Amino acid sequence: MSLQDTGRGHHLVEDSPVRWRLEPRGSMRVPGVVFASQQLLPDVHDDQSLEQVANVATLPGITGASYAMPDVHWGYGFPIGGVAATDVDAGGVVSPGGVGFDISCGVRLLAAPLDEDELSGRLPALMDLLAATIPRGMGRGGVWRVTAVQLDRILTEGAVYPVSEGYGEPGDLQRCEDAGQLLGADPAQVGDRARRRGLGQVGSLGSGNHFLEVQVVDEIFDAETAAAFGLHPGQVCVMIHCGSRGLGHQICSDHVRVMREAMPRHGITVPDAQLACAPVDSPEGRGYLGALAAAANFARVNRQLLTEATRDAFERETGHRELRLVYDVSHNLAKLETHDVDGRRARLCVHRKGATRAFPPGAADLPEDLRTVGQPVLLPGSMGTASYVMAGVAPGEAFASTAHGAGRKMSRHEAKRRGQGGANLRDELGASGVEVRAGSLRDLPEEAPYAYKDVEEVVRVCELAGLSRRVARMRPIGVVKG
Amino acid sequence: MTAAFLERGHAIRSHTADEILEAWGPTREACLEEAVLALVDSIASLGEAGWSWHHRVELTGSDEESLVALLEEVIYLLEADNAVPVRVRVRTHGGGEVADFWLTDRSRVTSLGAAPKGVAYSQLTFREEEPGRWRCMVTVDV
Repeated sequence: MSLQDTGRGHHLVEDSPVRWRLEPRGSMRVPGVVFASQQLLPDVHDDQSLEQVANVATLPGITGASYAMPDVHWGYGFPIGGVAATDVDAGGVVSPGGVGFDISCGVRLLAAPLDEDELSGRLPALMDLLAATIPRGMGRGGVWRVTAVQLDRILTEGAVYPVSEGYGEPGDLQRCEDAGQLLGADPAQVGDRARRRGLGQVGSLGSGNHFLEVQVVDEIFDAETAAAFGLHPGQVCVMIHCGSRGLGHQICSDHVRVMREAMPRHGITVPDAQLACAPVDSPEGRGYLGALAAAANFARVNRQLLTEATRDAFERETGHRELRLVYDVSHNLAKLETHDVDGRRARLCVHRKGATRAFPPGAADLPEDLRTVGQPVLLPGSMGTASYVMAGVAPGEAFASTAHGAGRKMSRHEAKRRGQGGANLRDELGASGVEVRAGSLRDLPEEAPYAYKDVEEVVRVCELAGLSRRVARMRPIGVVKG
Repeated sequence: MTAAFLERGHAIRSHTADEILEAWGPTREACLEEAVLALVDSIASLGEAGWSWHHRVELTGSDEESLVALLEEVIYLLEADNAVPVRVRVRTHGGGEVADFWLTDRSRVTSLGAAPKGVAYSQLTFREEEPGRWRCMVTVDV
């Protein structure tokens, strides 16, 4: 066993080479648990994520531990890669800071009915078409222009709405978390400013680390599970990463403000203002969860419409539009779930901020055809490095959660400063077999592979720590950046 | 470099996934204006763009609330109206406080980096460090 000083009064105790513990101290109600190898442990001099793990452990009603996933890094309030569950029946709180601004940001994977060799030669034209037809970048512009009435249907029905209008197929709903529609949405909790921000962005990628990537199944680690997911070696796939855009961002801002005002009434104090929270069973808690569900539904519509735009592009360039949804899962969400806690079934509000739900085999919420193999987990790498398809494993550590990606290790400014310029980076990636279509060449280095942690190490730790297991490695061949 | 130049200004500091804006000035209002300019600097290169229309908001609440509201207004204008401030003025007006924005269309400036999503309260500071010297620091999620 070894001890490491976090530099801020906490000691990290090594439980195993991939699991570290922060003992409760001060107002912490539970310990912190960090899943990381020595290589992935946050640098306490540059990164305050361990302090944030300790701060989250003070939230009223928190149960088990305040968890950090292998890709954890410095956020605000919660760390990115943080998981915390609160016991609803014991005054447990919900915190918008435990979800983040980009509510229901997530990833979906589409499997194409063609292999890499069938695409060769047509990839540059396909990437040009995707770059021209996928709305991206900051501000307004989306696949759909909607009215206020249509926006209400989006917020309430989620992906069910576009699919019912012919923008998708029934299989798209079966393979989406919550069958494409998070119940309990309350559009009345979505303010006018959130609506205005969302109206012009229905079906858009956004900017920053959001992307649409054409990939190839490079290696299969579990043939049976890969077959259940519908994946085979050499197959072309498309991974889409985006969220609820300005609508979700505004909901977060609005409800943090409401909770900051409400906290004194509930007798709650928090060590970080962005951890503002309210009991799940309170008007403010219910209001936020209703707005959050609406934003989650917006995000699913967003990814559904980008799926249809992708199918259109594939049809025009390859003659195939039958891209089948492998899975769609969020990595910024708070959900009411039932878990075993100290030998009893407890109703928990599970916050996952930069963490992916990873239900093990047998979970009742999984579609029937996935119940024996576990929930697909989509873990994007960085532009130019592999991404992984993983699966949930029993018993479901950290309330059935795992990592959400490679995780940043460098600020955007640092990445730009160290980089060799966008055009060089694009050409370098092109030489290594990745066609890049950047919204802005100047900003491309912000998302360069060297700005991220080693995804191979993140995946290795996820497996060793019992968070999720590898199913397939995906190699990028084309990237459309926001 | 003149003393007047040193009196007010702004900077953007590194944060792993976000950006930390720092601003300072001789008055509370100047500090708020500099914070807006710091956020605009992280969004766009204004070049020679002039303003096309004017927008006014009232500021209420504590210093911190005013700072967050002002920066959130910039994010909102960008997303809802495709508008970028080229100039801002904060002043007392009619017993309250107002911020005037002079705006241009986003298409007339060069976008820089990822779009901001929201303003975090984590580690937010805004205070008069000594008479005539205001400073604020605020994290913006991008």
